[in-house]
Amino acid sequence: MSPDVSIHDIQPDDLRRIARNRRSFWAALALTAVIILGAGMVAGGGWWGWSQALSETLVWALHVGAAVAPGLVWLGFFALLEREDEGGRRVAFLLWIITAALYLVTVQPLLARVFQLDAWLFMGWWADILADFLIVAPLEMLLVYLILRYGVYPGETMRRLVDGPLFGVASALGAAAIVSLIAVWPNALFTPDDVLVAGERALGYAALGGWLGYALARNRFSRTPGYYLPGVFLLVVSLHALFYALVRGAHALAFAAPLYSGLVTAAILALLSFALLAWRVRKRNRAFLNMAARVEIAQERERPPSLLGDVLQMADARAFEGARTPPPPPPTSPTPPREEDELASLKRSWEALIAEQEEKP
Amino acid sequence: MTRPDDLFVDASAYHPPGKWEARAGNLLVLVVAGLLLLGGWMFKDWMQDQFRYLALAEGEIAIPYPPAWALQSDPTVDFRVVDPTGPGLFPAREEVRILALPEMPQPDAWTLQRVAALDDYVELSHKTLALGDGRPAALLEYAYAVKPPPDQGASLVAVHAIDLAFPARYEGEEKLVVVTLAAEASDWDRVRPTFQRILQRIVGKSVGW
Repeated sequence: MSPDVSIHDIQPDDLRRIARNRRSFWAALALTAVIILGAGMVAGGGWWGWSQALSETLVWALHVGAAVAPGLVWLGFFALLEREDEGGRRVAFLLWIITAALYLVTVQPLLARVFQLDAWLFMGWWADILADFLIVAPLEMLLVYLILRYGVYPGETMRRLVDGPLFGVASALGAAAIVSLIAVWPNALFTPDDVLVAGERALGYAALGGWLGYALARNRFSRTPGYYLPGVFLLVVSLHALFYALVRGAHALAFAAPLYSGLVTAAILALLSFALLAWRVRKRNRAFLNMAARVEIAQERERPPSLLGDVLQMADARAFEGARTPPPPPPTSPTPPREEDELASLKRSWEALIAEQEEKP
Repeated sequence: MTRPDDLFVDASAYHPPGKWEARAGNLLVLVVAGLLLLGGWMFKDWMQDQFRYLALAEGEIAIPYPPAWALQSDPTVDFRVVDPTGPGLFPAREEVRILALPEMPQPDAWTLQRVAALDDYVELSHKTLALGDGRPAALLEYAYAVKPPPDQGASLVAVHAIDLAFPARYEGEEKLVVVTLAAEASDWDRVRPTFQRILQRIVGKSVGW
C-alpha cells in the first residue's frame, strides 16, 4: 500500500458508480440455474420418451445444442433483463465466444496431447481429484483469468464491481460449452445423460468464473493485499476439484439415486455459491457507498481555506441579493462620492471578511 | 461528535492498485498456476509409470502392462490388453505369446512366423540385444495391414508394431516369450511413450527405436 494516496485522489462519484449493482445479472443467473435444473430433471426422468432413431446429423445438432444451450440461455436472459447497458451485453457475449474458441485451441490440445489425460485418468477416484486439482482446473481457470485480466480488466469495460462476476460467468460459460461438447461428442446417441452433463458443467463453471471475476474486479477497484489474487486463484482451483469430486460422488450413487442426482448436487452447490457471491458483492458495494460518503465529509473538512474563493462566494451572494432587492432611488444631487469614504468602505469590508474567516471553525 | 471512522479514512484501500502492483499480482497468479501445472506434470509422469504385471514364473521376468487397459480374450494369444481410449478399429494393444523354443535362432524364427501370419508385412528394423540378466532377446519393428470386420465399413488399417522375443521359464519349461506392442499407425505417436516404458521395464534399460 503506498502511503501517498490521499482522500483527494478519490472521487465519491466514482465509488458510487462502482457500487451500482446489476439486478439483471443476478436474475438471469438464478433463472438459468432453475431452467437447467428443470430441463435436467425432465430429461433425467425420461418424460420425453427419448427416440433412439435419430439421424447422425440430428444427434450431432442435439449434442451441440445441449452443450451451448446453458450459455445462450443465460446470455439471452441477461440481454432481455439488462436494457440500459448495451455495451455490457455485447462484451458478455464476446467473452463467451472468445473463451470457447480459445479453450478449443489451447486448453483442449494441452489436456489431450501434452498431459494425455485419457491415457491414465480413469485409474481411480483419487487420480481424478488430483488430476483435476493439478492439471485440469489450473489450465481452465488460468484461461478464464487471462481472458478477463487482459480483456476487460485494464480498460473502462469493467465499470462496476458486479461487472467482475458478470464477465467471469460469461467467460466460464464459454469454457463450459466446449468441455460439455467434448464430453458428449463421442456418444453415438443423444441421451438424457448428455443434457445432465452439460447442465452440471455450466453450473459449476459459472460459479467458479463468478468468483474469479469478483476477485479481479475487487483488485481493479480497490487495493488488495499481494496474496489476494493468487489466493483466490488457488481457492477457485480447489473449488473446481471439490465441486466435480462431489458431482462424481453423486453419480457414483446412481444405482440408489435418480439419474439427475449429479445435476441436483451441482445446482445446490452453484446456487449456494451464487448466493455467497451476491452477498459479498452487496457487502463490498455498501462499503464503497459508505466510503464515498466519508470521503465527501473528509474532503469538505480538509479543504484548505481560500480567501479568494470566499471573496468570490461573497460577491456572488451580494450579486444575488442585489438582484432580489429593488435598485435604490437615483440620487437627487449627482455629487461624486468622496475618495475618503470609498477607502473607509473598503477597509470595513476587509475587516468584516477577516472577522468572518476567523469565526469559521 | 465526529466518529473516529470519519476522521481516519483509509484512502489507499479504495484506490486502484498501481501499474506495478497490478503486474506483481498478475505474476503471482501465473506463478501459482505454473507450480500447480508442474506438479500436474510430475503426477502425470508418475501415473504413466504405474503398471500391473503379468508374472511368468517365480523369479522370472514380470511383464508390465498399463493398469487402465482392458483385458481382452483371444484364443490366438495368451494374454492381451487393449487401450479403451484408442481408435475403435484397432485400439493400441499389448499381447503376450508363450511359444515352444524354436530350433533356429530366435530372431529369424520369429520373423518367419510373422511374415507367414500377417498381411502386407513390412519389416522396419530388426536387432538383437541382451536383457538385464544377460539373456539374448530380439527386437523386431514392423508394419502390416489389418482388414476390419465388414460391419465396420472401413478399408484396411495400417498397424505399426514392435515385438520383443526372449527365452523365459514358464510352468517349469524353457519357452519363447513374445511381447507384442501394436497400434494403428496414426495412433503410434500417442502410445509410443507407453510402449517405451514397457520395453524399458522388461529389458532393464532404455531401448533405442
